[in-house]
Amino acid sequence: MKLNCLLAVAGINIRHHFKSHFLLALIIAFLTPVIFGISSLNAEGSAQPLEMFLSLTGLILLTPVFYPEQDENIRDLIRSKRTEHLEVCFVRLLYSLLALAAIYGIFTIFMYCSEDKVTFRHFIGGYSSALFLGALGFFFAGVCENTAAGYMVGMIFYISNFALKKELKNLYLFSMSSGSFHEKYSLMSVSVILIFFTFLLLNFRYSSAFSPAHRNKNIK
Amino acid sequence: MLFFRECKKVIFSVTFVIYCLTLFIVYFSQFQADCSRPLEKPVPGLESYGTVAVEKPELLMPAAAQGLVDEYLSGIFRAYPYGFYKEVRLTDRKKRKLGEIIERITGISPADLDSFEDYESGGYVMDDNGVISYTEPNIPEIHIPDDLTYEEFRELMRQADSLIGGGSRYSDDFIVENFSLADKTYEDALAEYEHFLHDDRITAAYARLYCDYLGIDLSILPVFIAVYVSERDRRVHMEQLVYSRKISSLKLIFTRYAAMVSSMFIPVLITSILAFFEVKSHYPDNDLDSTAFIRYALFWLLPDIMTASSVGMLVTEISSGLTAVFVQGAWWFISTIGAAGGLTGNIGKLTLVMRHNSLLGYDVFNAQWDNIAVNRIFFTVLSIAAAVLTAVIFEMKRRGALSEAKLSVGSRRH
Repeated sequence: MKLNCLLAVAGINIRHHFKSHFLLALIIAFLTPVIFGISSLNAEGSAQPLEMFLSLTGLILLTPVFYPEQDENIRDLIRSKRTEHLEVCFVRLLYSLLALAAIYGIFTIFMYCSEDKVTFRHFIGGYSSALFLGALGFFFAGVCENTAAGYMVGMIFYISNFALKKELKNLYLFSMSSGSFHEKYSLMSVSVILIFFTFLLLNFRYSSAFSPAHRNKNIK
Repeated sequence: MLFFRECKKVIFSVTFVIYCLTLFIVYFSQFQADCSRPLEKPVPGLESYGTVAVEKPELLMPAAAQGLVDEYLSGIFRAYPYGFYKEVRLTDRKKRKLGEIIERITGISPADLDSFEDYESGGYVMDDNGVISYTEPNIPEIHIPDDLTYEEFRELMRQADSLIGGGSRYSDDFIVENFSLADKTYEDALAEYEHFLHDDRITAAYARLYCDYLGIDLSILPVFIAVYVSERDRRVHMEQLVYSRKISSLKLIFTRYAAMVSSMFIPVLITSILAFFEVKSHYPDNDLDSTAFIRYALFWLLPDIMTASSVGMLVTEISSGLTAVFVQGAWWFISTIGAAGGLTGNIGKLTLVMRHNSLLGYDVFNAQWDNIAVNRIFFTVLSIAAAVLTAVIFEMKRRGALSEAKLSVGSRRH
């Protein structure tokens, strides 16, 4: 019953809130082979399009998870439903992560067919960079209740990767392009932590905002 | 007063806090790190004073021809069509055409090239001891025909670049810096230093470097603040209330726009003052241009802020905040990371992000003065026009001319 309910939530949200973001992510994916040459690349060359451009799809897909509730009417409506608001956000996050994996999967296969030296490592490495950018946007958009702030922080971090390779150390997004993979473990772990803390903080915020004590305080 | 209320709205937003933090981080990590010690006067007798790209046919023609033959034999052509490295492989038809170009510029026929078996690629190699050495590629000997003029040679290079797909080492943007590098003499280096000292009066050179670093961020960050401010009324359902007010749309939008731009200019002003005192501390006894930082900030950076803000407001009003971020992001990407030119004196008439990442190069910068003036005036006028258009669309929505379409979209959504 619960699963059916969540699937219905996913269907409705994809129809109403996800299409435009997914379309923009697809535009980025289609532009990638135009900007980068993707035929007969070596291992490091193959990592460039996956890390330096396609990773922006993570920012586009994961940051707007909380966007619909920025409209106070929608926020009130969602909170009046039986399904918890954060559960709805979690469903949105899940299908966004799946869409991101699909984009990366299809693009990696496309590169493989173009005689590039791509492996499953490239898929994981590229996906980690996109996931981190997305998780950063997701965290700031959720915590600040401001999607523009999420995009802004994600974009600033992306730009800083072109100039601050040494300073970013294990959070360097383009490491695979210079032959190193171990940064990806950090990116993946920090992404999971960021997503976890976003839900934790929001859960705390909402539960205290809707606690009887808080309500009484507001009435007074 | 509305202006100050709007300023307050901007300054107390989280996007503005992130904006200020970013500017200060860029200022301290990039600019201040670059001016940690004064620029040293060149001394005579050094082994090298660096190289300078100068268009000399006697240097350029043999080097470019050699480069083209090398890449033809390797089968891989290096190109940066959108700022990123791309390895291009030509189809047989294009390779045949390129063979004809090589025959004209070197006298080597395509058949001779294709039958050449001793080809070895050259380049920089590091041995086991970490010593880097350069080896010349092994290619057939090249003789530039006497009847080949420089103009015809450059035209043939353009055709070669077109066959490769643009952005190659033979394009107009790259050919001089790739194949026509001359060694700088002590006199050249000294002349540059004299310009720095007397023509730029030191601070103008630092002001250009300061604007170069901050301009990269100021061409994109204001769009996020503009999106936040433009969407705020919609988010808190104040649209109808604002629509019902007496104030004209033009006055409201321009007050909002002016408040946004002024607020965003405050941290620029603060960092420019900090930058002046930082430079002054390194050159206590020199004659400095005390207004250079403010002048450059107003002329170079203010149009960047105005443009990104007005694009943010306009596209958010027409479509959505996400589209505004995407449009400005794409434009920024093309003019920075995807830009074909280098980091010094890379200023076209319509380049959004002007680059001059050097304390020297007074000549190079001033040679482009016409471009610079047209560029900044163009972006200032464009941003004001975009703000007027935003006011027109706002007025149409206010009168209900656009509300039908919006309502139908709204009803589909919810």
